[in-house]
Amino acid sequence: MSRDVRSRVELLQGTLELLILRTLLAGPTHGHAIAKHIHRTSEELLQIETGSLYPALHRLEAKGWIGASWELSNKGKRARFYRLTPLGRKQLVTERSKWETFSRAVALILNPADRETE
Amino acid sequence: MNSFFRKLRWLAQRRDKEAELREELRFHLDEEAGHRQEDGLAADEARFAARRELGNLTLVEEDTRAAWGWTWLEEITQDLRYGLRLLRKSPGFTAVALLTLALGIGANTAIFSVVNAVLLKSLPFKDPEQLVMVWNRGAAAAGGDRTPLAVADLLDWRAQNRSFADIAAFQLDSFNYAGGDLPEQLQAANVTANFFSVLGVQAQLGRTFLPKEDRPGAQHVVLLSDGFWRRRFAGDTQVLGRTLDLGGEAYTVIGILPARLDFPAKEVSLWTTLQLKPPTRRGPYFLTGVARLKKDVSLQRARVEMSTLKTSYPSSQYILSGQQFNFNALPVSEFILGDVRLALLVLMAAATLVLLIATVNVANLMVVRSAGRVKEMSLRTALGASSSRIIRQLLTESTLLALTGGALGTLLAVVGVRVLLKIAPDTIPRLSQVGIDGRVLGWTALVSVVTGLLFGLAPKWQTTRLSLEEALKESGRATTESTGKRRWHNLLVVTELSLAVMLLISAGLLTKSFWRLQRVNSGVSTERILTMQIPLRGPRYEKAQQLDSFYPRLLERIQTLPSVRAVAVSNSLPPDSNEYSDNFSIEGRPAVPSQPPPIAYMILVNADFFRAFGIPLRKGRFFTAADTANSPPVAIISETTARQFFPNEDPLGKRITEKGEIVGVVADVKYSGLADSMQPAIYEPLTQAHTWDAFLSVRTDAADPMNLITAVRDEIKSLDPELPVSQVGTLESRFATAVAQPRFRTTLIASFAALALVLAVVGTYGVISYSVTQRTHEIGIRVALGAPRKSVLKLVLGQGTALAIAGVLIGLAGSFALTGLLRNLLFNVSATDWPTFAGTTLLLSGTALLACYFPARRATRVDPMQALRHE
Repeated sequence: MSRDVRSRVELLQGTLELLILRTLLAGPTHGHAIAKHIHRTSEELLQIETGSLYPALHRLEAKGWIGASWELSNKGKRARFYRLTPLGRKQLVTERSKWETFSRAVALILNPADRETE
Repeated sequence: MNSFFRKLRWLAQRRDKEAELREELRFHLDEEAGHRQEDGLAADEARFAARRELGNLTLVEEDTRAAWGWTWLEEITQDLRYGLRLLRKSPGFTAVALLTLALGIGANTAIFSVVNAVLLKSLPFKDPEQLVMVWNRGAAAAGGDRTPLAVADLLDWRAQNRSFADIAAFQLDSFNYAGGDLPEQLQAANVTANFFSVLGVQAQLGRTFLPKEDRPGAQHVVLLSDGFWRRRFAGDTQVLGRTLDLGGEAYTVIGILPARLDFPAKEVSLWTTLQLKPPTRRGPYFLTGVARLKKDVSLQRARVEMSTLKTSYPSSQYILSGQQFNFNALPVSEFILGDVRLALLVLMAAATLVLLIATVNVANLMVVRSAGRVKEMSLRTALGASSSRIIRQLLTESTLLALTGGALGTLLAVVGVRVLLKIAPDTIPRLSQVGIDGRVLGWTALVSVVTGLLFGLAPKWQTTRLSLEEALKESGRATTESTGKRRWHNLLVVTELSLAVMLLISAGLLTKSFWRLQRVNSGVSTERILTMQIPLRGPRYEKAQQLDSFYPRLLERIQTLPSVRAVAVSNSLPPDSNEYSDNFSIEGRPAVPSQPPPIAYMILVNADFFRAFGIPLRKGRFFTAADTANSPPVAIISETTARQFFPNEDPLGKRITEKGEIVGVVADVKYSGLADSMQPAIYEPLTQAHTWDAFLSVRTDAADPMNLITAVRDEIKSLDPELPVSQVGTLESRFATAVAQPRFRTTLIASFAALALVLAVVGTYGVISYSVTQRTHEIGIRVALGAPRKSVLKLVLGQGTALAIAGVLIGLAGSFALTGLLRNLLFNVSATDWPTFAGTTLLLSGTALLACYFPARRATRVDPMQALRHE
């Protein structure tokens, strides 16, 4: 059972981390807001599962790419806010270019016709 | 690295982290519910939807925690916790396993701590492997392979050899020291001036000897041991340059030696220089050589070279010039450790055998216990637990057990070492350094872990051979033992029985040897004799006449004490104190030039000596008061002397050159140790020869001769208040000391063997008993089908007998192969002494069968109805 979840997490892993880093570029915020932001910005195509979100956040924190602190949310409740660290900012650039290379490569393979017509 | 420390910090804040995670997720739920409420859901419904969206809360927590990166540690913690719980749940198993391990590891640790101090710590010399001890090889009475050197030998060797960088020599001596409150006798070594440069030892304070300080007429100088310096001078550095009164002469203190130096003997407190006069004849023989091999010269090559050298210095009347040396050399470590090394290695091997048996026993317990867990293991495997994960868990459990056993064992060893030191004889070198240090603890940890791995893997070896299906089937229905499992149990039982046989035989041989050693006829009756040494040194005893007047007065005074039967003064004491041996010739028999001259112990005694020690007269007469300095010289010989030198004639009336006429033959007495063969001895009356190293022996009617000490001391003090008395004790205690080392090793190995026997029997009982339980169903069927009780008994006993026979046979074969190693520790017992082998075989098979009998009897009482229902 747990194996099942893990393999799904792994599938998403690289991407989800990239999305989190990109979201935090806008400024520190808490987990729920990150999920909502990704959900909204992707025109509701991406639904981040809580079961993947928090492990990913804690993994990023363990790597030192993001930092966490307790702050008050806009509703005045204590929430764990995440922010990009300098290391995470650098990582975002690398991850992003990696992703772009990857998606371009995938696109080239999926749409060979486009290239031929060009 | 950085992330490692971050993780470490997290680990420290573990509890907080858990709380934070819970709060973070709660906030998430609240937030989600709030959003849904804004979308128009009722509060309850919104909360429920949020909860549903989140999914399995525990799982989310667990996955998040996994992100912290400490899963492996958690798994170990889990395994440990699980292991501890299992151990707690079966206290019987845990107690037996821990006790077994603690005994095995404790015995091993205790012996290792002795081996560590005595054998492994380096000797207090520079490059000790280059140092060799050098002797002549001579007649047994002269010292055998360790016959001392003459000054002429030393000078010849120094001049001629090419193998040694340098050769030094020493002689043990003693001094009366009157500088303190009590006169004291100090052990000393007279050494050549190059002694310390050969050893490569520097003084910790001051200097060692200069090259010219061993010439005749050189100023008297002395080096002090660290112990004596601290005891007598409180470690005062001002002692350098002061003079000490040693035996009436002034010696200047020039240096203090390092505390670690205990050569040539640990009792030595003073080192002085020999005065080497140019020899006028070959003898006398009194030196022991110590030499440093040149670099790249092996002891073997040195031996070969030395045997080609020829004597050049003037010879005595017996040894001619130009004769070849008969030279003997031993590494210095062998000289210092002697057969202690062999004895300790044997003990270490014995302790390791005990530990192996203990391990086998615990492995057995683990296998038996794991049988009950086959279902658990199979279930976990079926649910996807990897084989490595299961092995890891088994190993965690066994290592936990082994380390706990090891910790208990260390506690046992601490006590054990204390007991060891109490019963260990002083003659074992470097015993004072024995203790539990880092190296010993490291050894214990290593031994524990290896033990843990060995018995921890035992169940796995056995279970991997079972298929999953078979295992599930088997644990479901208790029918008979599977053959694979039974083979495993049998192997364990045979192993431990055979190990026990080997230990028991070794212990048996050593015990028998010790028993024989104690029953050696020393030739004297040892009861109720008080002995002490009175070394007559200094200006008061310089001249022979002074001795002549001292001894009679001493004897007379002590003779008159109440309860004194007889008083003896002699230069030697049985069983192993002999002062000197010399060569002699019989008048009328010319010396044969090519043959070594006859040698005998020369024993100087007063007239009452034979009566005091109960030595029977065989022929002729004892010495009497009529044998004085002015009467014709006389001698008494021992039976061995008579047999060797007067085989077909009457020795009475024959004359020994320079000693006198033989007037009597007495029974043999051992002077060179109980284990040594009888050597020839010649007795001379104290009135006609002189010794300055006298033993005073008092035979008394009192039950405890020690009660006489004060009275005897008072008499000596009234004669000479400055005369020190040393080595005070009963003759019986001297005999006990002589066998202290054999007693020590025999006691230890016998205890190990007893332990091994108990463990092996318990192990056998356990296995047979378990096997009966496993076969209850089968036995039930047999009984139901009409098998008589007797045949059931035979069935179980048969299994036990087969195992015992196999174990004993393998053990006997192993013993035949290995007891040869004990040969040098055995006295008058062959290493393949058949009564010992047979006795051990009987003892072990008997107890093994007895161990089988109880489960067998239980098997005969199996009720078929119950057995068949028993599932």
